[in-house]
Amino acid sequence: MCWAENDGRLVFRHANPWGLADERLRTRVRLPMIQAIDLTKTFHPPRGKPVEAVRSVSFTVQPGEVYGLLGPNGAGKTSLLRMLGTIITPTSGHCLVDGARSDADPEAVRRRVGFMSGNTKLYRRLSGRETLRYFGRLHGMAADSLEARIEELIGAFNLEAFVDRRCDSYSTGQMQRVSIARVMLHDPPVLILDEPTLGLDIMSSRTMLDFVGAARDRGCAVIFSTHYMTEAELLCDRIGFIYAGRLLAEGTTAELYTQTGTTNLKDAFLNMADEADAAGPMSDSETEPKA
Amino acid sequence: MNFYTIRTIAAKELLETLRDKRTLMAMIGIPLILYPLILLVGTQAIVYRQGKTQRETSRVVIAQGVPDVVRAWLGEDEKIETVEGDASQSVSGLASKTFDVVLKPAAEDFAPDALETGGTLPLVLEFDSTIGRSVAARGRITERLLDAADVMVGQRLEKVNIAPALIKPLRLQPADLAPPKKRAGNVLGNALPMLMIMMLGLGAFYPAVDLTAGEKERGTFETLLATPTSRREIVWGKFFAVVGLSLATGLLNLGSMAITLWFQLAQLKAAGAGGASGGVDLAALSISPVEVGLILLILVPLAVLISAAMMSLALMAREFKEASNYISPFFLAIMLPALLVSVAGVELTGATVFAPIANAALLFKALLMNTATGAQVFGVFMSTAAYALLALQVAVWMFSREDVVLSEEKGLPLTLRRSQFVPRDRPTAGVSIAVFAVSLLLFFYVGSWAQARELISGLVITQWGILLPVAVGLLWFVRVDLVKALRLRLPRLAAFLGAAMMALGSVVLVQQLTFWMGHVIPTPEAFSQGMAPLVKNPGDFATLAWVFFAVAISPAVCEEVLFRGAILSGLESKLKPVAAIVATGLLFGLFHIYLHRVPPTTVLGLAITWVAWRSGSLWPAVLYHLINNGLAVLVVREILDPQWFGQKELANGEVEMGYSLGMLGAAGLLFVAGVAVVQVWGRARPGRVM
Repeated sequence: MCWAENDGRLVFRHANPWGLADERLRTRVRLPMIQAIDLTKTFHPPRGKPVEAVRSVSFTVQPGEVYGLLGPNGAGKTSLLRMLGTIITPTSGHCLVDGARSDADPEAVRRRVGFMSGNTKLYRRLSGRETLRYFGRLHGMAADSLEARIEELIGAFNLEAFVDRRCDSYSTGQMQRVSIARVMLHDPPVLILDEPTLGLDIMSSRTMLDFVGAARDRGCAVIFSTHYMTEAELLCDRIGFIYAGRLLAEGTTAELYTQTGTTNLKDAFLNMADEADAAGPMSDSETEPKA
Repeated sequence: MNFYTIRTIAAKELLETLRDKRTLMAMIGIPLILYPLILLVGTQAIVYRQGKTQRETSRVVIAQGVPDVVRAWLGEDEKIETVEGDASQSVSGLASKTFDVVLKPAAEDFAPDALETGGTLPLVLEFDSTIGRSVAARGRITERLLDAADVMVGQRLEKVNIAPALIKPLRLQPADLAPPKKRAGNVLGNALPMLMIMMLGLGAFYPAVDLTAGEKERGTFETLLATPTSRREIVWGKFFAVVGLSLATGLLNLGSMAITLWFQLAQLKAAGAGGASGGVDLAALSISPVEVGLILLILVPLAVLISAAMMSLALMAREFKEASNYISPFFLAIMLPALLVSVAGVELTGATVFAPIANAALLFKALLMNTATGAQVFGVFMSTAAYALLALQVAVWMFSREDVVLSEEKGLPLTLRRSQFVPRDRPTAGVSIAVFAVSLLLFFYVGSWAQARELISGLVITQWGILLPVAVGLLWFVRVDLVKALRLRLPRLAAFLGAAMMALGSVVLVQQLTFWMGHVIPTPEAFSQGMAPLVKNPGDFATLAWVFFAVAISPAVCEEVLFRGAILSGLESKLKPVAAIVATGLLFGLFHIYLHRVPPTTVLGLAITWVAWRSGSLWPAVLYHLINNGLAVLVVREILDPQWFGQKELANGEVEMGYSLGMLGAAGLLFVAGVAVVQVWGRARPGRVM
């Protein structure tokens, strides 16, 4: 285990960049680490009709589990993950992350979450080390333990060569490794990754997928969205199909195959999506009960 | 809010901004290198040109027909040289600079012997106003010829035996009594305030965009939002960085400009070209440390106001360029009031004290001219601070809007729908500050105009048309429970009794305070004269009723809803009761614009606010306010004998103001008894709603 609480301050015991399996996690091992309860998000664009991006989605993720959210662009994946990370507020519903309630104490949720998406880029005019220091401070880490933690992460992700250069000089791969170190800084029990492999080359993709696998092995609850079916097939313990803001189905790959009578995720997903479309636009059944 | 977090964010934003070459150029490069360079090169050019013009002789072509005596006059000046040239080709000759001016006989009424016969010799002096040498020649020749003409006048008068004084019935010598400092301040005061505001704006412009829209464009905003910081902390952190950069740029620019200017003037003086400063000795402009302190005191809220407003605007954009498009009009808009100050003869009196931006510009000028009063400094600081707080609240609100912060669509993401507010019992402190600031702004722009037109109807319009609708409307819009927030619940009966006792007591006490205040801060003439309509048509009941409605009933209802309703309930949600009561009392006092009214109305405001808080109801406060203002109306209109209210008419017809000690003691006792009644029997109860 990586840290323990000592007089309310985080103290690092020994080098372990993943360091997730602490006592608290073990005692809660049977409780879900992430609980989404009836999450709904409606956007009101300045022009046009309100958009129901996420409609009453509920699911859970256990510690040491990788939960994949699969769906096409615009299905509501990003909004759903942003609600879990308390970056946006649900129109209704809430979520529990490691016991913290999103509506009651969103900052406590963010303290327990490592959040990465296509929109969590790095400050170009800061060096990698300054970036890590900045985010460590925002997480309220004490100066000495923060410096120790940064050294650990630099070692773990091989950042020595470039960590003191400004981020605008980094390659995509280097940028990604610093981003991963940024997410791991405060040693979160929950990782929320929104399309983390989007636009990456195979090498960088592999780094990312290795990272997700390693996080799972250390007991981290990981939820990540993608529209690469193969990636999901390889990595995810359970998968949720999200389509038009609604969670169509969830389960292990095997369960999803049986349910749809297919042999791969792509077919399973298309099958479900067609069924949903055939049932008609969902907002009708939602808001106007048929006479 | 965690100050460590705010400091961390501010420090990082500053570091990042200072690492940007564009910012460094705008902040440091321009003031420290460009201004001195431009000004010094300019000075050198002026000095060189002036020297050259003075050394050069003026070449004049004298056309045929001009009498020889004129040629002789011009010959007496060694800087004037008569040259040969074609007077009929003067345009090309002037343009090619073969000569500087042409002196010709006028085409009409020309009599060559006019000088001998006592007539007027009409001459034309042709020159080119775009050529410096030609202009200088015009000046020299005009001066020389008019001098000669003066001598000739004397000779002619002597010939007919007339004393020269006969044709000079008057000699007028203007004498400028403005002290040199005031004169210099007036000249600088026209330019400096605008420059100052421009510099603050320039300093805030780039960071405001970079830290908001720039952060969105670079895709780092979500990284920041994913950290366990609150939106408020993020705003404050960024905001401190922007204000710091704005102030630093402003001061760097001004400092650099001041030093360069002084240096330049010294050079011009040494070169004997003192005329360049417009006959004003800028060296007379010594600014005392106190004045520097006062300027800084105003500069800070001004920077806060400008920075917060710019950040809010820039945040609505998704990218740098779009943000610049939003801010540029704002930048021009804040320059406009500053520009008007230098053009029109606007004075810093009455309601102009509350005109945002313009008030600061006027105050800077007054400080430079050494004419600023404490009331002006106070009023400008307080109103600028109020607007600054409002702007900050707007910024915090904008940052908490996810549709603004995470907008991905084109165009303004902002929508304002009532449905997006969560219903609540009380307004937030931010809403209260907004209510106050909006009331103040409308009061300034609409109310003061209406009252200047016609006092009584203006008061009614201000109360029922501005204060009440703003307070109620804003609370309604953000879905606050009006009954709870405005304390519309009926109180215990004792609260009314206590409030009435307190009001009767405080009328005397507060009036005595006003009498004392009169020795320290005299009542402005404008204010006394403006109040004249209150006493017109003595004895007429209709006028009395109208005045009573405007001055007693209207404020008792509208101002109470605003202060003891909207503002108190909002401040209470943020502050401890004591602090909320004091703050409400202070704001109430500040609302009465004229400095001499602030202390008495603040004291009164404190008492009324306490009654509303203690009784949990607005109605005793309304009664209190009604009694206070109603008595004042009745006394001013002499329905009640002013003698009872501390105005003793002396034998010589003058009026002595003040109460006897016994009267004051009785009033004090009554007031304290009222407090006790409210405290013991009048406290809030859970109960009926009116």
